[in-house]
Amino acid sequence: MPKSTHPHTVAAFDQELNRLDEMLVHQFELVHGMIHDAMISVSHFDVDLAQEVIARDAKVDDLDLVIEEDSIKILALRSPLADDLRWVIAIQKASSELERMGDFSKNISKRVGVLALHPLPEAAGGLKVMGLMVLEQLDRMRQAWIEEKTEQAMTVWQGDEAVDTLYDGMFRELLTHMMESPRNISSCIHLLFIAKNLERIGDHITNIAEDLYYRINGEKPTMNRPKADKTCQVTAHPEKKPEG
Amino acid sequence: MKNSFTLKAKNTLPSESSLPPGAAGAGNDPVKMDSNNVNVYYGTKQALKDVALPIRMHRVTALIGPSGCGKSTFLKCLNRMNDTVVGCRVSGSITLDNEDVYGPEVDVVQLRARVGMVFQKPNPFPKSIYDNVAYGPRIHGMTRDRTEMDQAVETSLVKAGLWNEVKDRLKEPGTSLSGGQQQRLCIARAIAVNPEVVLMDEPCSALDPIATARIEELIDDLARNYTIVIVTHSMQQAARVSHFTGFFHLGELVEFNQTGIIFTNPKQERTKGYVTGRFG
Repeated sequence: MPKSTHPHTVAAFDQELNRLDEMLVHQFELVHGMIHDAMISVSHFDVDLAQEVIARDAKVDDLDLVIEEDSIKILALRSPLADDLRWVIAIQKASSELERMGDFSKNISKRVGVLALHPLPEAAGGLKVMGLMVLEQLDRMRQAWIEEKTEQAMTVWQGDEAVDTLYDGMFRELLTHMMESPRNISSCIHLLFIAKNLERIGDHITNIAEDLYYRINGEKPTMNRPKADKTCQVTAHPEKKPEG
Repeated sequence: MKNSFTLKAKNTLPSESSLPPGAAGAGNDPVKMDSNNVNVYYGTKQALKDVALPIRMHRVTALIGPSGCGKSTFLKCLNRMNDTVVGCRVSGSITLDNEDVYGPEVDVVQLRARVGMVFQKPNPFPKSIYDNVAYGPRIHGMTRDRTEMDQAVETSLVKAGLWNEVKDRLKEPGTSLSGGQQQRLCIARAIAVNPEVVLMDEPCSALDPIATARIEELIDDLARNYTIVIVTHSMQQAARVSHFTGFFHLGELVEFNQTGIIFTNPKQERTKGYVTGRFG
């Protein structure tokens, strides 16, 4: 239930809203753990841990399903209005974002086996920084959600630009490794996908920031989100410039 | 479509952009009835405090709020039904097409023909279905002969969505109809005198959900030709049928805005508390 308001006349309604929120916070924690362990498994080539992360995704999916079912039930049976309505909608949307982040963590973990065959330790540094930054973003977003702080959510929202910048750097670095030796290509491709997954996780975190902003203010943020992913322009032939 | 229970999409909704969020009373639709500084007293008890609420032409305006908040009192001011209440005093300005409703030259009977009313409990006269509808046009001398009267009765019953159900039993008493049909008969009676504004005081509170849906569908249809003000205890009903909503509490108009905004993003804490069921 929103912290700033009085309890509902019907106490069961408060309990149902609180339960939704508790499930979402739990989902935040599960996804945070998945991303963390996926990145550990990548840097240590820990296939067992990677398998464990893959298995954990089902829990996140289940929670998303329960949140969706309970939200529909609340919409149908309680007809929530005003901030209650926005509360339910925002939780449902945020849960879908977290579910997607779980999928990305799973996707990262799936690549650990191949990476272990062709280790490329010199590329791991940048990925580690990116992973830590995404985890930091997610943790701050979770805190903002619990404390219902839109300013903090907007800081996270704007902070995604730094994740984009790191991704841009990773893209160029991996391209360089590939140009150095074709033997690096398979590892680099997988590392690039991992970097891309982390970048996408960052984007989903900003969506949750927007969901919280909507939940509190009743509207979407009107400012433009700063973005720094310029990889669509990067080429291995710097002498040639892409059109458009 | 006539007999469908589903509510049609409101293609007459004012666009979101025509009203800046939170700007009560702004918009492009002409104002049919306006009110400013309306204060109402029952004896020494003040029932309405400085109410200012514009009622827009060919739009449905819903008035919501807890019992005793003044919403019905305000509704009754619009066609001077409060005149009949002993000890009731009204001050401030209420206009219909920019003319003062409480002006000394106003003929109250004429005013109530222009601003008709439908009550909470269906109250057909103890007469035939036909005579119930013909009553208004008859006393206002609106028809010249029987054919014109037949036409007026039919038109009103068609508009009220009742014609197909009663066309073969017009001579039967109005009280022989079901509750929902009786309420539609009362609506037919109200619109038989060609009012410009129709006031509805909880018109569905005595009806079952299907009869309610039919009245709501009817309100949607009627809004094309009439300006409608509805008092309702059902917030879902206000959300379903109205374009604008005013929330009353303790005699004050707390918030007035487009219905979509009132129910998704109300600006006042009291409105939020009421629509979300957190009223303390």
